[in-house]
Amino acid sequence: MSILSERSVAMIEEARRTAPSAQSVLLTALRLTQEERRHVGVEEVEFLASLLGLSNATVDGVARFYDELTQEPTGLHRVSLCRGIACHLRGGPAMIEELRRVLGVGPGQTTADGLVTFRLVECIGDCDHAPAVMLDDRFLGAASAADVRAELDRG
Amino acid sequence: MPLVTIDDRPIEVEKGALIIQAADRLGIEIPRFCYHPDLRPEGNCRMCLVEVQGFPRPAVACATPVADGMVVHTPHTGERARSAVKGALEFLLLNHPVDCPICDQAGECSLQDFYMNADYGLHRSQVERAEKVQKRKAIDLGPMIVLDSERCVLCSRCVRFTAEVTGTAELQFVNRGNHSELRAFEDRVLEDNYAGNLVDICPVGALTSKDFRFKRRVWHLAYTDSICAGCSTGCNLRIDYFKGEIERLLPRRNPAVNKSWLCDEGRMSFHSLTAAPRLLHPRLQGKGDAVSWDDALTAMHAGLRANRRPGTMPALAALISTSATNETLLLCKRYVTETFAAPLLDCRFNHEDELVDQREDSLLLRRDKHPNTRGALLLGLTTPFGGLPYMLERARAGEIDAALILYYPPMVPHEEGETLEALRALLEAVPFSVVLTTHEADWLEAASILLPVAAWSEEEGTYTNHAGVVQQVGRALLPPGEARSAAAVATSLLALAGRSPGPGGPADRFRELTAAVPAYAGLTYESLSSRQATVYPPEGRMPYGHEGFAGH
Amino acid sequence: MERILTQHTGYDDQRGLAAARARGAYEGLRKALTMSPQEVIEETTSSGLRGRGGAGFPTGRKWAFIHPAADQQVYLLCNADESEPGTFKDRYLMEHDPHLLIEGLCIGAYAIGAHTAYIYLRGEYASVGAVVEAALAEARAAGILGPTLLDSSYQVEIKIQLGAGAYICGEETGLIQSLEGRRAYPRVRPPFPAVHGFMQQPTVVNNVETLANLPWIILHGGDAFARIGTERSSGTKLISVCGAVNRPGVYEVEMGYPLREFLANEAGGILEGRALKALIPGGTSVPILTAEETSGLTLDFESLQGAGTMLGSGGMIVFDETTSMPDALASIAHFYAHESCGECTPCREGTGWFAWIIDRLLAGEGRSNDLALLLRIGRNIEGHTICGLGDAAVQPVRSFITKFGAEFEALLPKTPDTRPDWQRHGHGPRTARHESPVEEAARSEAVSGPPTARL
Repeated sequence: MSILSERSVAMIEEARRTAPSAQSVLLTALRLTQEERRHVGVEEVEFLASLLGLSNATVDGVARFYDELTQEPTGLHRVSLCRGIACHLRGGPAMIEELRRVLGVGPGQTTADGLVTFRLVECIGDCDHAPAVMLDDRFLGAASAADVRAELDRG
Repeated sequence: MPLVTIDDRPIEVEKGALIIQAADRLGIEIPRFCYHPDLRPEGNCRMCLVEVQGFPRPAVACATPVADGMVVHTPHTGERARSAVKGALEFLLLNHPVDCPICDQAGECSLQDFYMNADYGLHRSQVERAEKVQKRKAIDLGPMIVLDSERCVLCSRCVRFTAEVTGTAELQFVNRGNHSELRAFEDRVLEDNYAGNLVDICPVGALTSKDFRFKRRVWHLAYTDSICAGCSTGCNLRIDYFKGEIERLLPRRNPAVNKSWLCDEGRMSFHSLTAAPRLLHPRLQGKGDAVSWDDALTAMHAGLRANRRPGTMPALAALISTSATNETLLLCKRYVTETFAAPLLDCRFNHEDELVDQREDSLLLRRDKHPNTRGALLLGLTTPFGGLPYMLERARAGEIDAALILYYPPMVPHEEGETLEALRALLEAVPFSVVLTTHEADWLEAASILLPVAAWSEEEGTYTNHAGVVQQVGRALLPPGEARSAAAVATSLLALAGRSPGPGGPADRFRELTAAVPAYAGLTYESLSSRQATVYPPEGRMPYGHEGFAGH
Repeated sequence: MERILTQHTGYDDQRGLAAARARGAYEGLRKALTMSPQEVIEETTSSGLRGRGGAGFPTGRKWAFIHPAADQQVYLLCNADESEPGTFKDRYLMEHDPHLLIEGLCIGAYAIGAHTAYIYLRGEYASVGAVVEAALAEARAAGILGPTLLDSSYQVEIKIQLGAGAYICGEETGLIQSLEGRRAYPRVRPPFPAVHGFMQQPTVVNNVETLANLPWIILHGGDAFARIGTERSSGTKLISVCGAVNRPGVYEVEMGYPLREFLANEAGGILEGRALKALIPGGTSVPILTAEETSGLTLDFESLQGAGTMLGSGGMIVFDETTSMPDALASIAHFYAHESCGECTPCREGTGWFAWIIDRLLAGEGRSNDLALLLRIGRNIEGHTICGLGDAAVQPVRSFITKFGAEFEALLPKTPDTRPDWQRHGHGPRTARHESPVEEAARSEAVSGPPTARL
């Protein structure tokens, strides 16, 4: 049984077709896996290793190098609060507490219903909207905790 | 050839040589963790930083090729280099657990050794033990290896070894920064025949030997250089022993034979010496008790030459194992050929001559599980007719009067049932037989005389590997009981036969060998000795001559 | 001021191909294709364009290092990893004028003989990637990219590679390693990427903003570019200003523009009329300036270098009088500890150590020699690492402690601990100790990834 969807496997194969090496598509493959499976766990590592002809340890070593790739599943949505210096100077610490209140979980944690993972991230390059928040891949800019909650509830 | 001056000492080296290699040849100690002569350089530990005149920053000696006219200062003569290395060592020890009292690496640990160096060590720790990053310890990675990721200094030698040498890429780092950790995926056991090398190349106690775990402090060990007897590759190794027992085997570096590596089978081969009971005393069939050597030898010499078929010369079948040293082989050959008119003298128990060059894997292993087949072939120990199978056929036809067998159980156990059955059958088919061997075994039942001989690690001599490299075998232990080296037995027999046995010492025997084998002309016993630095010379100086010890 | 990089007016609908063409997009490329690659390199060299990612290395000179053998492939890699804290100008460029980057990439690829260019985009900029991908699609549809580059016989293929959250991927060889699908461990140099780069082939890595300057340079000539700015910093610079200012954002200024004027005008002055306390001109990896030190400085390479800091990425971070410098330094120190790739000893251990000590100071558990220790750690890291992250981590620590010493000294114990080491070790309250991943996972239902150094 394939761990990844046919579509994802096809995308990986397509990327590999024009790539200079099988390993050079690994990062793309890992991103696809994280998107689809919300984590890169044991099964996912074994699947990608087999698909690309790499050792398990090689795939695992790469997967566990990057902040966006997780070993345990993240929630359906990720609320990422920047903890870069500019955001730190413009209300970052207070925002952590507000989001904790509004989301019901602290940084590094996922809600019990598996819907939201709240995490702190390093400078995301939205410093002119400090304290900057991202919801999944979207920049919410200078959103308040209430705004974030509203975005989540909107689905 | 580029000329480089290191710490005011000049040396010419070949183009492309690294500064660290030039320093090693000069005997100048540049500390290192990640550099290893048989792995691609990575330059991550930063312990080998040196000052190079004209460079704005210190450079890593392990990844900087020598340029003609280069002037280099190591921490021994350069203040910038000294302080850089001192800083690097302090960083390495920052999160290192103070495990020395329970760590097997103690006594041969690069962290310990470099720390004790007055030039760049001996700093005062500025961190509390409780502050140190903690990682997983005592992880079982299979029959050979225990991993302690907290002790790891992240030199990546093991990562490179499994990537470049075995191609299995089973070890890799996970995480980043000071939480980086060495891991085997899901702690799965390492499944290749070369895992033991990871212990040697690990400069600290992160990867340690399960077999050797907690057995012995290394400073109690005595050591002898020798050659593995597991197959015809003849990997160079060192026997570490303590009070008459072998504790472990380590590879010696020999770029021409085994680089820095040893296969796991060979590394564990010493266990086979104690796997079965040893033959301790000469024995005569029917006489349960031991007999003296004199009696046994006299009976042997007489029995072999006895006229059992009137009107014919005694037909002798002599089967001499290719696990024997060259010296033993030569003396046995002399005894047999000078005493008997037309002996059947062969070294082949089971197609050794066909297997001697055949590889069993892409690294070190060969299919011939004897260390000295090439040596036996160069001594002419084959007949046109064949070895054991042919002799058995002749014996069954009643054409053999006596058999003389020198047999060593293989150091690396493998399936030998057929061969042993054939040997048993040979003993039963001849009226008189003498077996020189090391261990008790069922197939020896029918032998007329049994003589105990010294096993591997109990006698000196030489082996010739598959490619013709003649290498010296070392003696670490005394043969048990009344066992004697087979070479000594053959010498005694020559004396009984009234032949001049020649002078007695290993060097003398080797000289006789070079006279007997044209291919060995020009070799001397001294030239075979391990001419590079041994590991722990009495002065206690850490030798960084990488041509010597494989691990550091 | 000549607008080189911000000819768009900043509205979303200005980024499409039609609007871009109305601004002259791809005219520079058209002209470049009538020149020889060598001429393009020379034009770029004479422009004096210096790398805009932080290092400021002359672009033409970097290109001139490329001498591929017959069987080699040249690669142009666009560094869009932009992870230097306080820096968001590349994101701005890509979101507002993606065709400017694409055009610059094509010119650069043509100049060095590359047929494949990768845009390595930090993973957090996936939404930006969508914008660039759409622009690439437009360019292919319009026949600009594809089997032929415009109407020439040259071919350029541009691919986007998204990262996944690692600052070290903005380091030249870290980027290459990541692109090869490896852990992004920088490489020992030499050999340099121009000789052995991506897939061991000759490679050039250029920043987004650097490439974005090329169309104007080719169209108007290198000399015209060199006439803008200062003697050793030609052209303009995108400054992304943030922190305690009224109008944080991205602004294009001519090199040599006075810093104080920029603060007052473009940046709108300090928040709530407070006093300026300190300023980092070019991302956290460059030394901080006190308010007094900013007087008389101009925004260019040489003026800031002369003041002991650097223009760097142009990510300007402004601190006002309410800022606690030790607290700010803790935030910065944890960034480097988290982002250190871990390959080489001094950075791996030193950045972590920096963070612990500063945490201890803030927790009231400072030790008398902590400041001297921080400086000594800095000396042991600087110049001893494989890549610049180690050096970068040292700059904030050293400059904060040196220039705001009083605030740090106030955190030291009032009575120095004169007990010998052996008495002190193992005693005293437990501090904010760094948990191992095992402990952290056990402690909470944390979603794991590379463990964060804090919390």
